[in-house]
Amino acid sequence: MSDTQHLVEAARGGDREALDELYVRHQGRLLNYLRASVEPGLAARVAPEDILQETLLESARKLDAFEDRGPTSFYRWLVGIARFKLSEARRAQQARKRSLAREEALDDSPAGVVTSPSGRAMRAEDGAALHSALEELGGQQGEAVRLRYLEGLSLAETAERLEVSTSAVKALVSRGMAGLANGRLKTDPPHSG
Amino acid sequence: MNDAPSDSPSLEDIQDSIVEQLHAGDSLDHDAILAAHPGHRSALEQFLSVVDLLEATPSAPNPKPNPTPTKLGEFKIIGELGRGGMGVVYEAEQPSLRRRVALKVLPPALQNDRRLLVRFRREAEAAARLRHPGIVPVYSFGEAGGAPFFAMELVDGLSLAGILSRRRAGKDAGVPVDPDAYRAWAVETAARIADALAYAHAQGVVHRDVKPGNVLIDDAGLPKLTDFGLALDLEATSLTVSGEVFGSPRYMSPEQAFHRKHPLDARTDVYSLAVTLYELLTLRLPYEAATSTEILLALETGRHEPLRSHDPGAPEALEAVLRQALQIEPSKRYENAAAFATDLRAAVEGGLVAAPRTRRRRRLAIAALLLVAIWASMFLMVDRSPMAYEVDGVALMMPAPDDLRALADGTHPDGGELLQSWLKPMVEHRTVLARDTPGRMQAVLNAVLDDRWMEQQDPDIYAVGTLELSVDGGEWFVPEATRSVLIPVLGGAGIMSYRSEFLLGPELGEAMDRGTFRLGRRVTVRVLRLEQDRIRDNPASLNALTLEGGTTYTWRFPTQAMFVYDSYPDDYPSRLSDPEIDRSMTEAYTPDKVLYRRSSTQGTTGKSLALTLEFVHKKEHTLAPLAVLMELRDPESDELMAWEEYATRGVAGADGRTSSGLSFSLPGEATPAQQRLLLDLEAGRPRELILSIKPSREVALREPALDDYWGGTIETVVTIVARN
Repeated sequence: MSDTQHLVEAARGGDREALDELYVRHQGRLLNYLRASVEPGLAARVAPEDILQETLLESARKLDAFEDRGPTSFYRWLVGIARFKLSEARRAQQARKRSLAREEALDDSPAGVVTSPSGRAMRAEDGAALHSALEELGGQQGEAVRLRYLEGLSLAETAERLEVSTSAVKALVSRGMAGLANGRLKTDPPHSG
Repeated sequence: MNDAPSDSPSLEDIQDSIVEQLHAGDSLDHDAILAAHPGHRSALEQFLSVVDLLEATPSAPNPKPNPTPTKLGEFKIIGELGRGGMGVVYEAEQPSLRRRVALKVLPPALQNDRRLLVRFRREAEAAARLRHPGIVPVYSFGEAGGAPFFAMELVDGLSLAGILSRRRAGKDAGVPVDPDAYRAWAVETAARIADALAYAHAQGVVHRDVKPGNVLIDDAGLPKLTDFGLALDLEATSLTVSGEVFGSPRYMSPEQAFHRKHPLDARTDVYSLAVTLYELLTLRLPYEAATSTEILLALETGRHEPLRSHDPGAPEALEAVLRQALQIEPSKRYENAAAFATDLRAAVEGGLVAAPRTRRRRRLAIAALLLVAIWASMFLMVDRSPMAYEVDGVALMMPAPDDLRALADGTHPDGGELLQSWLKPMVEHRTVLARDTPGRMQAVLNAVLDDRWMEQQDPDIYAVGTLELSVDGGEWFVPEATRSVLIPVLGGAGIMSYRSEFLLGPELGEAMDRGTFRLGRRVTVRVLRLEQDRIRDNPASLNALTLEGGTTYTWRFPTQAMFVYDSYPDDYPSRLSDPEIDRSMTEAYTPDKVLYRRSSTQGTTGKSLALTLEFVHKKEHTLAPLAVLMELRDPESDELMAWEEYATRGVAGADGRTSSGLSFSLPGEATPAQQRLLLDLEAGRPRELILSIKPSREVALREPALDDYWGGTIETVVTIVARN
């Protein structure tokens, strides 16, 4: 069994540390997947961090339903939940647009869940940085990094999406990552160390 | 050498395998990777620097797991068996005795706590004295390089937790497949553990963390309890491990969960074992799938779903035995594990059990009680006997207790109508407030909902109401915003508030803005239609909240409390200068519970804490809003978990009480401590925080100063419990 499988097993048995460890191993990438996937319009309302948190909480609740299908299946399962949360957020945003009396009615809402403007701006920077860095890569490099690395698709799946060969995917990811390293992604990690 | 030899993997292959490793959750060893591919060193360094960026944990990163030591004392470490709250378990070899052992090492975070170490050793020594076929023996206790550890017998087999997850996954768990045979196996397994517990208790050792993960099945198929006495006092340890909480809340006894000042004894283990058996039999916890309030009730009342509702083939006697073992009051449980074991075996063998088998409609009684309690708090009634009473002239009918019970049970023949009538008074005239926009009013319609309704409450569903107003019995008019979206907000235990904001007509609006809106003026609101709208398909809840058209509710303005002062201009006339008003604010009752709830409204998801405060004024009309600053702090780290500045709004009951709902929202970008709080709450584990309420000067309350009423700061410990 891999580390992840051990940790999942332990987490299912109620081991909180194992759960934390699982998250530590995946949440950075998952957050960046969300940052790369949240379009600017949505980012103005929902922080990717919020969706990440929702995703992790949901996964903790549903851990028993996780089916192990190989070493990378846990991350892909997380991405699946994240994708669902993302679409929920999009739907809710649509619904919000439809409803009539909303903005002001909410300003007093005790359930006040809207991310504070300064917090939004701050985080939007991080998210936008990655978002635009991936766009700037141009061509398929950014998409390859997003699909293969961040979203966790297999080589074959990525190749199918991009309509290229698997070896081309590897090359695209490689060049894309190098492009990110060459100054296009200047965001410092939120916490170093 | 600039190029890698042609037979070694290409840079792109190496990079892709790194990606694959990350997806598998493996930790990367940068140095090893770089050393293995010297030809690609600089390219890989660059690649890994981006990897680090993309993998960076958003919150404070946890330290990397300690590398596996190769040797501890005389023990040679072979591999890691698992990690748990109380440390890491290694498989190890003891050369002197040529045996394999399981080594449990105290987590590094605990290793510096002398007090804990002493305790750990004492517990370990007590556990080491235990010798019973149902207990994994502890061989020795040692310390190497500052890391205290135990050596235990290595049991080669699944734990009950492993068996449970295999069964859930539909995999072979090495247990009988036939339902009756499986049940017999499960009960016998639990009975054997009860035997072991009885023995340990006789030696003065309480396990305190009985759970599936701590019961191992050895190669002979016999259960063995491990981690004996290692579950240290949760309260004592929770801080030292940077807020990490140990233990298995799901299997905790109520006295553990609520940190009651009740000594943990044999009966605590009986409770946890009963939960474990229940889960073995039904693959679910006794309270799982229960509604949120039911979960609270369960912990508080010992109520759980009867065994046979999930395992219909189980003998009634077994259900009775579990019922007794799961009692909230330790004194009502089996007195000792031996009695539990005896009854367990008798129950499957068809013998006589000591547990009472009478099936009381306990569930109903409690549900009804809860409803009554909500009613009482809602209308600030202490006396439960009156069937009708008045608040500000609106007669409120309270359903008869029998109806409440039937309602709670879902068996009431006219449930729909009754609920209809029951909801009406809930559309309370509690709050109509003016905000910054002249003449704008916000109505809060409070509904007390049956818990099942709460469960149905889909965040995507909101209510739509159409309202008409009339002032002082004058003509009806439709406020400017005729269609109000009413957003469900949790206001407190069982209270669902629907907020509606609308603009008043010019007459009323100007009167309010001039401050000439006097006591006793009546605004009658006619709810033409109030029903749930929905986005998602949820037919069950469609009509749950429909109020018939034409129903009339009257808001009166008996006092000034209806206004929020915070956004009024400085020269806004203060009604509080009325000399008649008795300025002695006396007391504020704080709740001992704060409800935690996840919500998802308007495109964002949120986590909010809601509580209801109650202020008692000496005189009925002393109803100034109180501007308060409320803070929730972690009692140990003193970290601020949530805060809210708030002007209370409330309506007085005849007894001068004001109750205010209040919500905190938890920040989306939570600190690690807040994250842990969330995880705890989401896991259904209550947390205690310190609630402090102090006068706030930031909210621009005109006058009089709050201190004139009430100068003190209240500080109290509240338990935060999750609602769903």
